[in-house]
Amino acid sequence: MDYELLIPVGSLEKLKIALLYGADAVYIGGKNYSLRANASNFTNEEIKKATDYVHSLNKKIYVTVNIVFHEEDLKGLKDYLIFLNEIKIDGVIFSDISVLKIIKENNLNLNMCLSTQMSVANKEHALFWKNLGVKRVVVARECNKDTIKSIIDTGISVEVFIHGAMCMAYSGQCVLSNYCTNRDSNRGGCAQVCRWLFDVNKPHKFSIMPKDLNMVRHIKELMDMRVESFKIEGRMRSIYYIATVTLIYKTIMQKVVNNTLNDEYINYAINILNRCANRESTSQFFDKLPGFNEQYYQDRDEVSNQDFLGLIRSYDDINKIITLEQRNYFKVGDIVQIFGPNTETFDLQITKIYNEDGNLLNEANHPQMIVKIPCDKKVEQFDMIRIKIFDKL
Amino acid sequence: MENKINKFLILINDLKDINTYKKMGINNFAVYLKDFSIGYEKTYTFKDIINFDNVFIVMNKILSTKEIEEAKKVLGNIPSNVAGIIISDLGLYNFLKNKKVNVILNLRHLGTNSSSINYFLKMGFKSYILANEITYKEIEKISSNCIKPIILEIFSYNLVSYSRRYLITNYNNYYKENLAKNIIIKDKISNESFKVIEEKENGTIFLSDKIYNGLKLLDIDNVLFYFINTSFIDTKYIINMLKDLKENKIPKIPNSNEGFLFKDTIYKVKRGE
Repeated sequence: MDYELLIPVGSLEKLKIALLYGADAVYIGGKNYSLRANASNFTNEEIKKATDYVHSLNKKIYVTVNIVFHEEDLKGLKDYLIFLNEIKIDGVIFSDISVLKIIKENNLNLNMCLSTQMSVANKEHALFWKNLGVKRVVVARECNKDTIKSIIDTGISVEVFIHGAMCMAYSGQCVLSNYCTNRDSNRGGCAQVCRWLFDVNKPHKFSIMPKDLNMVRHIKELMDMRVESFKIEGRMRSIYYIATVTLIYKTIMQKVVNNTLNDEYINYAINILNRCANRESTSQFFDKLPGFNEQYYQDRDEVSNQDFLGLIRSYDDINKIITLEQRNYFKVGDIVQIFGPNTETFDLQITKIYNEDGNLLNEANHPQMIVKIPCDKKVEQFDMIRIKIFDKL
Repeated sequence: MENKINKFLILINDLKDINTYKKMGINNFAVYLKDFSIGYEKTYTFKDIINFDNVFIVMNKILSTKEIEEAKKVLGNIPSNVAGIIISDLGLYNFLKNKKVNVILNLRHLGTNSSSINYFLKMGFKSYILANEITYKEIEKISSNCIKPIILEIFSYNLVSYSRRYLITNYNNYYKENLAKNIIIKDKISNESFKVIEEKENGTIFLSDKIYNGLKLLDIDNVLFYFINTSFIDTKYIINMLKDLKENKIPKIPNSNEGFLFKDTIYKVKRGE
């Protein structure tokens, strides 16, 4: 069976990184009609460029058209879907039946994938959409494993979220953002009110904030169940997050196929993933109803992660020198880790730092400055450097 | 106003109130069906309502596969006094479409354009309940574009969020507290407050803490029903409101607002905001 690791990307750079690090498919949003309205998103020209590039690598690309349309939003939708059809994207992810209506009325050859926004949580609901020609359904994140199995048994292709942020409520069933901020949660404006704290006349404020989803421990189970698409959440995430998450899950899936997955790697993977997202994560609804362990309760300061130190631009094999683009501060003496899609993770102590002119520096302290560091081990363009926190396996 | 009151569909909590409303000219009632509803004050079985005519059944819960199978058993024999079934889970469609019963669709916040609504109406749904987060002008346009008369919610504590988590129990367990299963939470910055109700077998429901007063929607045409959800609303407010309407007075509703009727929502934030 072909399993698909599906990664969200918010730019062409992130798209290339995701594919390089092991994504089988990517999903993107256009400038309109997508539930991340405030992400940078792709222009039509960029969608075409992205599609051509993805297909040149024999991989797949899906476009989200997943807002809940108000009457005025429908203007332009038909032309947009016709454009997506012409450039032969691999499918649209939608939640509003207006999208399906236009696709069918105009005989567009677009595979339809139903968004988690419709909260498909039982097999009959999946069958409803299958009968309308929908090829794939992204099941509600509230589905446990028995429900997922029952939906797979309908014969529809099933896509499951395996990692990333959770909503507190059923997707599509929450307008807290509309009430508290006037920002429409179902048209991409969600202000994430579920991450706020509320007064309840008690010493502790009322929290409804969920931890992230992490299905590392259940990937084998999902593969055995014949889930086809394994979806990561997070079109607004950094290239470091995308690279880390993609590589970890790709490795896990490969280890499942090769029968080499063990608890040691699973624990390592969880540590790496939690660290790069700066959030805790659990498997949420998969094998039980979530309790308080699946939520946050203190007022969290989400300090952005400083682990990502640099993106490797090139490697001089003769002089054994890495040229990299700095992304966070590091200095001589630091012990770092280098990882990449084809580079086995290894530790390196920074012994020297040179600027582009070959002058010695004590530190790399300007964002995106280009520096050079000695490294005996061969690395590749687009490998990454991070602070060493966990021992490599 | 009499012809408008004829179109009122009242979701009631106490069956005894039916006679009171009938005396006011209302003949359409709805109740939440036991085990298949959320956001309820009370639920009923088919047996409980057997002596009442023209009653709509509300099944607004998102169902698991197991619950769908249970629903099919309960719906195997729909009594003749049931005027229709209002569903929120499309998983019930295939089963109900072959039954001789009116099926009304309520996808809650997803009922926001006539193109989608008409698609469902063409599939055979009797009617569709529009979302509450759209403006008066949008509602006017949608209803004029719909191929069948639609349903407008005009009076209720709006459903704001629906979670499968037990958020009050989780809070109590974490902090060793004893919050009741029905509380008010408040955000000081937006000044918004919400009723939060934890329901056994369902999870947690958030309702607006202000009564939604959509009475201006009584001007809209192409309407099958104007829907009043009396859950958690003191019956006296409903009775007084109806009396005022019958006398062509503007009802004064305490602790209420007009929701999003005259307030556009945004979704693209300008830079710097």
